[in-house]
Amino acid sequence: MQGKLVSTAHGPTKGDNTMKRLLAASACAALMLAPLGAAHAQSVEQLVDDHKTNGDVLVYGMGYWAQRYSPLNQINKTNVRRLVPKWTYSMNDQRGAEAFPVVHNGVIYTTAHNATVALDAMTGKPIWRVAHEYPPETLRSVCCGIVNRGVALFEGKVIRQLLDNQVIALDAKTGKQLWKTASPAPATAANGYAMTGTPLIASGVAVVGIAGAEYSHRGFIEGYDVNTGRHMWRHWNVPATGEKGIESWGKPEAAGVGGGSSWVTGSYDPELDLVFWGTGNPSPWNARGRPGDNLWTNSIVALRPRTGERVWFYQATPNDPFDYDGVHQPVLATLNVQGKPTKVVMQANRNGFFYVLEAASGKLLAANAFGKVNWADGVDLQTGKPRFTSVYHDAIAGKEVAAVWPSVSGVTNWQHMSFSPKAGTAFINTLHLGMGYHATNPETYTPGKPSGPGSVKRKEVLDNPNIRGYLKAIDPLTGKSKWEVPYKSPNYSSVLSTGGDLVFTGVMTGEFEARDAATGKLLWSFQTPSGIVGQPVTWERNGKQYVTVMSGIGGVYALRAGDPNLANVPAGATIWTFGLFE
Amino acid sequence: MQRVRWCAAPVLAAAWLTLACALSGHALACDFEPVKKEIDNVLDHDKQKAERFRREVKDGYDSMKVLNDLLPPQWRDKLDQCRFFAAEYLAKRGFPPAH
Repeated sequence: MQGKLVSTAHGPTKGDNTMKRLLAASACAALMLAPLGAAHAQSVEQLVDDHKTNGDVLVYGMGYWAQRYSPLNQINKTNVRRLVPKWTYSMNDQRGAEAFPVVHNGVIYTTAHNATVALDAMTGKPIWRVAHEYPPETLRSVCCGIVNRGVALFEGKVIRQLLDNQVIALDAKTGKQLWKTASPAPATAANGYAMTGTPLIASGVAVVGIAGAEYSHRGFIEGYDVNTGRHMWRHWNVPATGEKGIESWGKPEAAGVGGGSSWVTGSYDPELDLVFWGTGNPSPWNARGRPGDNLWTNSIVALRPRTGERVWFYQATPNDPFDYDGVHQPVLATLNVQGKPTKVVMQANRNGFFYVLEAASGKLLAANAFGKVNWADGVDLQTGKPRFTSVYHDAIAGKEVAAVWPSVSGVTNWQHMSFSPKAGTAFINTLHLGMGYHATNPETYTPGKPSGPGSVKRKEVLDNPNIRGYLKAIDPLTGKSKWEVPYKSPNYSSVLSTGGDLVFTGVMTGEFEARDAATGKLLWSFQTPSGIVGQPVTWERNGKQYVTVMSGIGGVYALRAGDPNLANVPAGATIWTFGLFE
Repeated sequence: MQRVRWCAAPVLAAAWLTLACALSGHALACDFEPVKKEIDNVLDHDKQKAERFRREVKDGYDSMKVLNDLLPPQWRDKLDQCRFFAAEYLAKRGFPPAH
């Protein structure tokens, strides 16, 4: 698969004046951008300070701590009604637009599954566009949407993952390919692997994750030299025979196809030099053939970015029968815990509990339900284990369970929360779905064999067909809502909060919304042409604040939930930038 | 004449190898149209299979798994190759392999 440099969106056509005009325009654009060339370097220091520099959005999550919070307050509660679109750009793609746009020095970089683009941040005009092709068989092991979640920037390079398990670096100025590395064996589509995530650059290493726990793979997280693309290390999220942790697999042979993917990007603390990454569900979903805790699935692992050494881990859902795929991006913050400022890692887990752990050690500080949960009635803070209920025990035993809360979709899914240090509040889109569940007799699995939905029986359970999700403002230490807003369908958009006391998020039916961070009151809404499953960001240029988000329905819920509210939402990926009306 | 045969052998071998590779690659790629027709056959034209499909899906079985069991054996590999698009199509027909 070769990255292919193509013309900008309005490609020249043979022998007409348009071509000449475009060539002239390109030359002008090149001249205008030339002085910016030296500023294309994104140093380690710039990445570390990303959360402090309002003009740029360099790191997935708006800073290494992934808070998705900006102190920018020019757009605020008093004037957000004046927010208008400044420009939009079509990604020429009918698949889900889940990417996190990064912004550097007046250029926005974003992705579709099969293209990477650089756009003028002020006008949306394309600077370059690179198409990516992949073998058709790649899609066989893409369970949950043909998507990509964006790029990382480092020292003039735009680095991304490709569906066919390759990591690629492009020149930020031109889009020219600098290096491309295939993830080593056994990472192929035939063995159940795919890449949809975004690299995290930490200590000069591009740390990446993998998808595929629904295809009997053995998951990992791995590191690549960001300058050369050399594969440096791999952390297996499931141990091999003879390795530490295999004792947690009652049938060691099950570990070889044991899942534990890592398809959502992690976070990083430069001071501790630790990368925090969520690992996914064990494979198959049906737990009856894999007794034991099944380490290190459904865990947060803290890794050294240069070596992949695991410093600590915390497992949220041992021996998971419900696909409580614990990949949600860990978010760092300093919280006042028992009167003491403490650097913590927070995770709103798909299993319904909101976890707070000490960042340095992984010690569990708090774990509280933030949605409807009945498989456990709490978490023991001493042992870190869930207090399982009969719902869980019956499911593991192969009995039919009438209602498990949450369903396999979780109380949240991959969509990222925002944490406002100003408000001390986490803002998160949640789901409100239950399921009937029955783990039938377990089968045996080989690498690449589907091992997800087909391994158990399920039925949809709703307690209110008009409420399938909420946007919630949550106290991280109690899990309790300060406010919550119901939605007919859950939002799979991530959340952005700002110093202007606003919360931005997108709706699956296309509305891009701003709400009052203190009350949840809707202050502004704009109808985009498709459903939003993207990740809003905010930035400033020339003294003005802007908000950027992608629209384009897709991803697992839109494809697989059968939600009647979404049946007529049109597809089509676009990127939008909003600013105050002048 | 003999020399020509010696020359032809590696050429023929290379040709066979190329053909084999091409066929092998083709075997992995999804050709969805015929698979879609087979799905439609199960859902719309074979009363017994359609009833069983609807009954088992309603009972909680995954629609892709049920479909796999109902398709003629020679179609199962093709369904597997088209897994993504088949699942998408089943969702559009109201039988999402819910995830």
